[in-house]
Amino acid sequence: MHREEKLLIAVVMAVSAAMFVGSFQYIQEAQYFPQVVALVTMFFGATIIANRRFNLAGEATTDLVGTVQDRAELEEQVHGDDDGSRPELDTAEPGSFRINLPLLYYTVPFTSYRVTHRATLAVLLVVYLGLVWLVGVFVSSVVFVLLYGKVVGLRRGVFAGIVAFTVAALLVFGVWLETPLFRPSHDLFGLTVMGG
Amino acid sequence: MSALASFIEGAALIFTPVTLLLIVAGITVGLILGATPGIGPVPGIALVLPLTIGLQTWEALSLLFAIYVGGMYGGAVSAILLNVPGTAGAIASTFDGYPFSLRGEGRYAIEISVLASSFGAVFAAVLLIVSVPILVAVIALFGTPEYALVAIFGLAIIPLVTQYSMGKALMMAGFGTLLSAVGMPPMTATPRYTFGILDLSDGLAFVPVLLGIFAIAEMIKLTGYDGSLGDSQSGGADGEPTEPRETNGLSDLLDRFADIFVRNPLTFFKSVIVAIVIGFIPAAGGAVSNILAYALEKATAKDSESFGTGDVRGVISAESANSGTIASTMVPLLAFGIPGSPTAAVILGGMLMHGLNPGPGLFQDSVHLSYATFISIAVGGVLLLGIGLLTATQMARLTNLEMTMIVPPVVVLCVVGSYALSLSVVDVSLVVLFGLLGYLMIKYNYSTVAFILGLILGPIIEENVHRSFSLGDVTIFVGSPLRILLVALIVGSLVLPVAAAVYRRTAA
Repeated sequence: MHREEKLLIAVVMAVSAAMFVGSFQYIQEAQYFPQVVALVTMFFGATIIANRRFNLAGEATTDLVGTVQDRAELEEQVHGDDDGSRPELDTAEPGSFRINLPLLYYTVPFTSYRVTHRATLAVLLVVYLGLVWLVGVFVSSVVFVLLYGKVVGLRRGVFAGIVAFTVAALLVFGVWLETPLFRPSHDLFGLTVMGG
Repeated sequence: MSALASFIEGAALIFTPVTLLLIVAGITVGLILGATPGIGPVPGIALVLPLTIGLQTWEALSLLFAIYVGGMYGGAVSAILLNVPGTAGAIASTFDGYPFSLRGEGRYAIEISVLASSFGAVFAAVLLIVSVPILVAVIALFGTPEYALVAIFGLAIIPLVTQYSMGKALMMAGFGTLLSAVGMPPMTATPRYTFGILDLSDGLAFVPVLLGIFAIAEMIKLTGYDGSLGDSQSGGADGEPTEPRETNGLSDLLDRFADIFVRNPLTFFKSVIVAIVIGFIPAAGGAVSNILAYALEKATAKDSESFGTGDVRGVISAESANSGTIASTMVPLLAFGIPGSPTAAVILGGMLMHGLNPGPGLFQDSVHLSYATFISIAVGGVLLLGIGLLTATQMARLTNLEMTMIVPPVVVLCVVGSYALSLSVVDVSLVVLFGLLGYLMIKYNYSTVAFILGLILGPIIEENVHRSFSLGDVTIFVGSPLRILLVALIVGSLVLPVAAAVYRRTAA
């Protein structure tokens, strides 16, 4: 099992266990539902782990859609080459599509460490969230687009177009929906509302 | 109120200049989003949701229905031209659509696809408009215990109607259901699992979770690719597609019309009926109906060997089925609050956002809203015909968009959109958190649809199970033939995949 998949299962199991234990602090009638659901969730999580470890039942699935997508072959490729060293194929998902384009990588400045653009976007999202909290949605959105353009190396014309789109979208939210674009979500500097 | 009066009241909600203009805009946006790699109707509608805050309820919902109609067809463009289905509902369109492109007849296949999609959506919606009085009578049979059982059935059936393994699908359904326990429980005024955060007292905000799971997760997946969808060497057929030929005007279009309704009318009507039935099943939607309709058409055709080589019946069946499902997925949504497809789940987010709480009460007491839904979809289907035919060539160009260009605008719209809903950074955190989790789910084949359905159905299950127990003990759930049937369906849905796996293993 890949470490990212382990992480996903661990998150699900840990949250379920925590909510099961935490449920005891509420009145009895409000306890049953989270307790039963947490136990069911942990049961299926344990089933997946046991199935992977001991190959109890294989991948039990009726596979209505998967039969036409050669999933097994694609899955083997996506799971088999996650060492980040060569292009990989992605799996086709419902509402998605099959792509076999090469993957892009980003070399972290001042190091020779290469990470996928997916990992960099994940980090950028966390930075974006922090900036929304710190300086509001307008500045954070522009900074996110600038950072993304730098990491991905967008062409100048494309980059300008995306910046223009972003600013226009922000203005739509700000003017039409009256979203406060510059309001931070903290009171660190005594400036809760900096403008609308 | 008579059915006719309700119908007129429903129609009055749709036939206003603003709503009609919004339907036109929705079809266009849906076409663009459906044909744009990696977006499609589910993330597309999720993205547009926050922008509808400023609209009246039925203006907003008509816009969302129109995006659904346009997006369902839009997915066929890359399916036919590149052998890459833009949505799961267009998978079967690749089988015979792409061979048309290989021999230079991509434009023909796209036009057939527009006609089949448009008339499929309209025909299904009209059939359901006629059936509303029957549906209302059937829904009246469902009391509190039945409602609880239907919601549990909605979760139990997920492994059967999706391609996910049973354990993974049910674990994600359980996880979603569990997270629905955050917030105010139905039986007490003390919130659960909020950790003192006021923004969580109404539970996890649905739209930010949708944006994270469906849009941000897709963007993380998409951002790694170098180039455009048009550069992708998709598998399946040998050879390279040639440029689509232009049509020769109205006579060609009439010929396409005859291909469907004169030469292959049974193909069309069979597929739409399949679509309507599939739409009633929670979570199935166009992803299942297009494949089943195609398989049925191929199985019942006398000369089935021509399927897969560019047979027009393949395109008609797949496209009329996926669009035919749109109206029927709204039936479980309006009647029980249970979405019949992932896209319907996102539309549910829109309904809740605009103060509509779907369920038996709404369906029976406000019949005109059901009429308005189906009328809106039918109008969208009619408009799709014109807009789809006019923009067929332009839509094909969207497949040349570079993947990396699509990501930043979508991410910004998700973050700013979620913030705009309640001006809370907690909602933005939900977008990011569930985006990252959603990406892991997609990458390792854990059902995002099961997760969302769990989140939606959790409160329905808890509330109605709680109410049922106030009416009697556990035997109340087998207290009538309908309840016994529902229990049998739940047990069957859970046992069937296991039995099938055991049988396969034994046979091997």
